[in-house]
Amino acid sequence: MNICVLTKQVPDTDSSIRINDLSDDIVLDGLKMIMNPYDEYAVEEAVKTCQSIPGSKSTVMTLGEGSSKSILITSLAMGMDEAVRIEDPGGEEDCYKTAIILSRVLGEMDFDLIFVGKSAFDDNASSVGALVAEFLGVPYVSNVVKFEITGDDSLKIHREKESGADVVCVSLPCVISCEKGLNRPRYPKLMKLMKANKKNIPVRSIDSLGFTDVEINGFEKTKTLGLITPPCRPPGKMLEGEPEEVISELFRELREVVKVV
Amino acid sequence: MSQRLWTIVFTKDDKISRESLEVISAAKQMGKDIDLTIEAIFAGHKISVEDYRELLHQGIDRVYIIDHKDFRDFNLGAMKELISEMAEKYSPSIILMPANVYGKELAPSLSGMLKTGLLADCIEIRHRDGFLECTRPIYAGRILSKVKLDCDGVKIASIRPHVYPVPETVDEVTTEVEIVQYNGFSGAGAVIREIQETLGGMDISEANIIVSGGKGMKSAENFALLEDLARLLGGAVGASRSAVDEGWRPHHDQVGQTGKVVMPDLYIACGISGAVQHLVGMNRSKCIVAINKDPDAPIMKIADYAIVGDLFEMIPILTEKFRKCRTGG
Ligand SMILES: Cc1cc2nc3c(=O)[nH]c(=O)nc-3n(C[C@H](O)[C@H](O)[C@H](O)COP(=O)(O)OP(=O)(O)OC[C@H]3O[C@@H](n4cnc5c(N)ncnc54)[C@H](O)[C@@H]3O)c2cc1C
Ligand SMILES: Nc1ncnc2c1ncn2[C@@H]1O[C@H](COP(=O)(O)O)[C@@H](O)[C@H]1O
Repeated sequence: MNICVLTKQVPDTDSSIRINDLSDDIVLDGLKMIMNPYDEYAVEEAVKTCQSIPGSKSTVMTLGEGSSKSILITSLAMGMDEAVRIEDPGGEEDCYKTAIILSRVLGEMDFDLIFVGKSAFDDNASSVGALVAEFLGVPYVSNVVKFEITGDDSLKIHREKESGADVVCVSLPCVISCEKGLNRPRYPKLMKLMKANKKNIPVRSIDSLGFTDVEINGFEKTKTLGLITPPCRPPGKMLEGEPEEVISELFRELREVVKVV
Repeated sequence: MSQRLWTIVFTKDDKISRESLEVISAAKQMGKDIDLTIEAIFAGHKISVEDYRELLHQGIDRVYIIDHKDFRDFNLGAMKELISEMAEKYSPSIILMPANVYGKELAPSLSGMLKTGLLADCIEIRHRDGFLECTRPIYAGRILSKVKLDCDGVKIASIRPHVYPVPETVDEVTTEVEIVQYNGFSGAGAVIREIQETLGGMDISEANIIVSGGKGMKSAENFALLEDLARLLGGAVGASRSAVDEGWRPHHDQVGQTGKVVMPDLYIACGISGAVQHLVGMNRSKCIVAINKDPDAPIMKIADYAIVGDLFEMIPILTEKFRKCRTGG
């Protein structure tokens, strides 16, 4: 089985995210960059699936700038076989554009299964996986929390939704987005990281994919007008003291002032 | 000239979902700025008038009914095929749908199929100078981004649930009903085999009151305290990721970046420190109460009422107060 994982580099979710002076991007200086957390489930699932099916091969791919090589190294250390980086052409970050570039490279490969993360921490679009599936003409299932290969070329999948889960059947090849709960991603061991670091990771340029600049611009369907920080909540009341008194006051406020109950 | 706007209707437990009605609100709001013909698409199997009657009381112009066995459950392949076939025939300008799990599959798939742009998970959407413009949360809600859809052809957007209100219904029905034929899905797709429902409990994203517990609850059994309080208040029980990772609560109930985003009238956080990944899931709640031993815990800084103390002492007293008040004591 040929398995591919798409992963993206994003700021660590613990970091403080600030907007730049032009209000058109965030301040990247000093931010620790990591693999998008949901993509860890994707890598883990790919590695596990490959281990269970002899003769399988896994490839991890990212569209990003030079520094995003580090998430590919992490993926290799977690057990992925091959890695590819596609050089980010710059310009507006847009899911349509990202997906069309990724699917061009995927189209050159022979794959059975593509894993993506449920959503990227930075753009929160949950769109790239579905778009890639569309451009490749294969089915897509999102929010996968359980997954089982049934027969030669079909999968039985649990897709988590708001009120529970659907059990979904799908045939290969397909694209699957990974939700928390699918597995417990392993931590890459230091030795493996060092080994992965030495591995040559091929870089694909946009030119080598045969896109013209005009085409690339045409794939940018959205334009960011500006960023804002959501308004802070006004300061509240700190209630301290004897439990009975404190709760009496809270109870009164909830009933009379807030009127929520 | 009037532009056609479509809203896609999803059902939940065989009823039109609240999110789908909220999308109609968003459409009507937009209709104040430009001349819109608002139409809803309702696809299902063995449809009777009762199933879509609610749509006729929203003051919209038309409802398209598509009755086919492929639409008994959500079927992404059939749905996108149907809508793109219809789009070719009717040329809508805008397609809106809820950004729930199904909408988040359908909206980008359609955008790829129709070679057009998408605004995903919008909390506000408007029409300006011939373009669609939205506000959408990025970085898990820590930043809001204003984005413009800069493309020709039909414009697609998904609307985050529970931000827009459910529209007020109108008594007089002026909505037309049009039946559309669909011949069945031919391609390869993902098909629902069985539907699994939640193992009891309310969907926290729909609850008006949430009592949530974290690591400070110390065990699964102790959540009974929160269940008691939630039941009295007609609310649901939520959890932090630590509580879910401990196996005390199901992932369905997790609030935050890797869980659900909730906006109840009242959120009571018990033994939750308020890590930023938790806060982004609940900081738009109307009123926040935090009960924590540590006055410096981050949750205490955003709470409307920050109660310093031991939750195992505080919660039973609060529950007792509500119980007395319910029973008129
Ligand atoms: C990529 C990523 C995604 C994440 N997504 C989420 C998410 O979706 N949701 C989420 O919640 N977290 C998420 N987290 C985890 C988050 O960073 C925190 O680790 C987590 O929220 C902490 O949970 P907690 O507040 O229950 O536990 P703790 O931080 O351990 O806090 C426990 C609190 O309980 C208080 N306490 C203890 N005993 C008592 C008592 N008897 N009475 C009163 N107070 C008491 C303590 O003072 C403390 O403040 C994510 C983390 C990462 C890295
Ligand atoms: N630039 C990228 N390179 C590789 N994979 C990506 C990229 N952007 C998004 N993805 C994949 O698509 C998933 C969903 O991202 P998004 O649609 O941006 O929320 C991510 O978790 C990744 O698996």
